Amino acid sequence: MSIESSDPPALVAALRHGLGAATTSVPLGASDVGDVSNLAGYDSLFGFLSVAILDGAILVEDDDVRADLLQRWHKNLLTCVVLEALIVRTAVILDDAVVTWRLTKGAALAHLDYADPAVRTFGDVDVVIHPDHWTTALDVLRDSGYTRSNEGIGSDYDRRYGKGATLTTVDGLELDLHRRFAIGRFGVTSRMAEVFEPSDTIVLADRSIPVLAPTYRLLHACYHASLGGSRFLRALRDVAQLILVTQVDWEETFAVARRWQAEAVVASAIIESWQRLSLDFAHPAHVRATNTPISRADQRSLQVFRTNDSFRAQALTAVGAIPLTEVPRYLWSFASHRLKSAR
Amino acid sequence: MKWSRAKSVLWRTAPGYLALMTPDGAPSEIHGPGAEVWSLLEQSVETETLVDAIASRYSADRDVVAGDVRRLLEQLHTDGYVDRIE
Repeated sequence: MSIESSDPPALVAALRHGLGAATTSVPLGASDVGDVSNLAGYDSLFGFLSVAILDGAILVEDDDVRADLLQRWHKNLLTCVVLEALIVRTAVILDDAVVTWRLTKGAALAHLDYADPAVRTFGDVDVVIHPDHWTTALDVLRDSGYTRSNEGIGSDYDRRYGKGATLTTVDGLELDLHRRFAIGRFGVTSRMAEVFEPSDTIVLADRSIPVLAPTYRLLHACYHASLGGSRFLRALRDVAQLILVTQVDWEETFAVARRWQAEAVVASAIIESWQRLSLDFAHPAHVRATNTPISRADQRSLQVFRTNDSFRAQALTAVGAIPLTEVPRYLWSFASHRLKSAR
Repeated sequence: MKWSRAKSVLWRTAPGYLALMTPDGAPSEIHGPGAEVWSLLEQSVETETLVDAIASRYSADRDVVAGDVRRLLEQLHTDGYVDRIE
């Protein structure tokens, strides 16, 4: 599997800093500052960048540039506390309605997988909702003033095959509710009820918040890295962080992925993480990933997610992964969903 | 008098920076040595201990630091970020 990349060297250095890889200081030259700042802004990377600068892994000669990057990190940190307040308010609503749910991605990883949560900043809140409680969760959140910002409410496709819904608060904060980790080929074969069986917790503002267990945090990170659309470095750092620093039982993650017919997703995420972050040391998880046979159908699907961000193209990768008898229903519900969305 | 972080507070720190919020409040930012005061509040701590630590850290006049630290603690208490333990 070949992955071409043109990531700025200073950004790669920032994202590999703290992973145990041998490092030499990388200068952030004046000609790269614009690109690095833009990418860091889009992917919420100022924590990684600032810590690498403060630790001397990235050299910035211009004091104004250094001050600007640190200031942008501070803005990211302010956003994080605002979002954590949203998590606590959301927890009250979901727990009162006896909804089974787990926090995932940004805030969960920041607190459980990074030594200092300030390094791993985030721009929205992600929670996974138990499939049996999906409708209840949507109802109680809507009753509390959250509005759904994407289409498909109530469609058969949404219920049976959808990835989830993005809700927005009155002050513009985003809450992503996940029913699956992806649409398409690797989403329809998932068994989401499994992810609620074990659990971690974090405490925010004296409230216990349920979080995906390590095996599933890594699995979700791999789904995001391989199928999340934009090929940004933070998702790859999360995969490497969970394997190298948290030391998640990645073999268990592969075992779950095998049951979900999604080994290609995990293997692809690990291979791309090692490649794009220039992790040039051997690790058994990387060896396992490179030795994972990936079928041509899986390769084609991964490629669709890598190069084509159209919902239609990604959703149609499911045909071939679902039983033949279910294909007509899938296509019908997909077409109905598209018609409903177009209205 | 002793102080400690309130249980209901959310925060992030970076060198010379502190972001704070309670779940139903508005966010606050503190720049400068206030962030260090926050790190010392991990355990309940006497006002005088905080003053000594900050004055020593910045080689600053103790009386000036004492006034600044007391004002900061009162503000943090008013905003619900720290508890006062008599």
